[in-house]
Amino acid sequence: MRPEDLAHIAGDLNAVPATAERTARLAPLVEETNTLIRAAADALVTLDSTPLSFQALKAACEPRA
Amino acid sequence: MSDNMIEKGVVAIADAIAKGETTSEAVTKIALERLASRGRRFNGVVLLQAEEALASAHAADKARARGETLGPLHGVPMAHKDLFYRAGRVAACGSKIRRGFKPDVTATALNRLDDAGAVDCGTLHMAEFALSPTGYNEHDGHGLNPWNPAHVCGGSSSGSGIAVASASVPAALGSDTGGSIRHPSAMCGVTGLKPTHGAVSLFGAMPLSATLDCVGPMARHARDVARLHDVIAGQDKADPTTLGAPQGRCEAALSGDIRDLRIARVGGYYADAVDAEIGGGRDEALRVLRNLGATQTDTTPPDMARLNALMHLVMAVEAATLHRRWLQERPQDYADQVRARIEPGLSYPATRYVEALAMRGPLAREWIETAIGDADCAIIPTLPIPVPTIAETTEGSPADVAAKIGLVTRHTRALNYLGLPALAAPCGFSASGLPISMMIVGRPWSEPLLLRIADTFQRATDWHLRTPDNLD
Repeated sequence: MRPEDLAHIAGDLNAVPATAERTARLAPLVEETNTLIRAAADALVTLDSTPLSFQALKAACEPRA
Repeated sequence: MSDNMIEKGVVAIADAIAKGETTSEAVTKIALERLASRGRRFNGVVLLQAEEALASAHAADKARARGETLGPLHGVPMAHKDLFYRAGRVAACGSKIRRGFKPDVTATALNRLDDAGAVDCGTLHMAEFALSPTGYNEHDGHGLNPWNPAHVCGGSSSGSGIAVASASVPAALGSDTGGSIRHPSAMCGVTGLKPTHGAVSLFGAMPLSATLDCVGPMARHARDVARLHDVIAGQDKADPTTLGAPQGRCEAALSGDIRDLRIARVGGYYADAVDAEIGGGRDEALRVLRNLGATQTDTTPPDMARLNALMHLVMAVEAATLHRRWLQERPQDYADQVRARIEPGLSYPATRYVEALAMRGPLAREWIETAIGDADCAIIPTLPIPVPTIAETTEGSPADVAAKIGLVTRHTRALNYLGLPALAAPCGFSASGLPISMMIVGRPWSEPLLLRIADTFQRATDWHLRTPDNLD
């Protein structure tokens, strides 16, 4: 993502003062995380995936002492 | 009789009060005195409510004298992290922004402790908005480790660790979004449980990241942690994430027998950065567990960089959503270190956040299959390094400080994304006299099993019984 786009999102769209000025500090972490998770999602998230997948896992686990 | 009651713990205090061997008033007075002296000396106390606590203790003693049925925590004094709301009491959450904030509701966890008979002595130090793993707080000052005040005490439930380790109270509640119960438990040498996400109601606990936050108990003894978890866990209509959560199974599971259990020693990522002294502590703990009859297997976890990134994204996005209006209106009232952890959340696309939630179930299953495998639980050092000094985590180049803080959370943070229960328990001391801790991690809802292992371990060892020198 271009730094000016990131500054626009972080600062202008969220209206948080000074955040856009910190873009240089945020950019590497945001870029790396975005790339990593997008790649993971391409591999793992199917069309019928649900954001409630963790609740489904818990429901499938039997309590055990 | 009452002089060392705090050290003996919750169960011993409740039993002694029930038998008339001591009174709640006597034990509560000791707790209040120690919170005022030891607790304040290590900067662990925010607010002491002596008058209210003594009135509760007096009422508890009167109830016993009348022959009323006593709850499992009847008359036991405690104090809790300053993010649990009690109607009408200030809950600043370690922040400047919420200084003076008085909620009009009471946290479900506190209500359940009240119903079980516990006495609430006040509120304890925490990192600003629960956003530091070391106990750093720019507004209130750093929490100090009772074992050596030059070292960090761990955060964000810093005061809870300080108060239990200094034997000021026998137990305290904390909250854990990336390790905030386990860090202070490990660094202060106490036992702390991060439950399965959804096991304990979050209602009335100031959120940091609702899908990662967990409320849990910290105490000297695993048995005490079990009793508290039994009291606070279970469904709550005010918190729909608790749907299906079981209740009241932990203390009954403490059989002292782990011969039926298989324990996984996890290598790979969880061994790569482990200091030799810490690895020695883990191996000695495993030897004790094997001697107690458990069998051991070796496992390797999946790609942890991906899981750490997912945890970071979910936490940052949820925290940024929560804090956005304060960041607009009062940006100057955040410590820079705290703001820096929230602000990346303003930049991630919503699609990435939903993808992160969609992957949570499958990746938790993958972690269980690889790191636990055919075992019942996994054993991991809670911290890969010895407890750092305050200077190591606040001074020097930003890169060095970030690297040190990254090591503190290296083994804890992904487990919140995975939603799994994890128990930190003391298993030794370093050459410099600071505690070493092991983390026992299990499948969802396996809190009784984790506590059975820790309790059995504590029946055979005395690490959890030690207290720092020169407390008074």
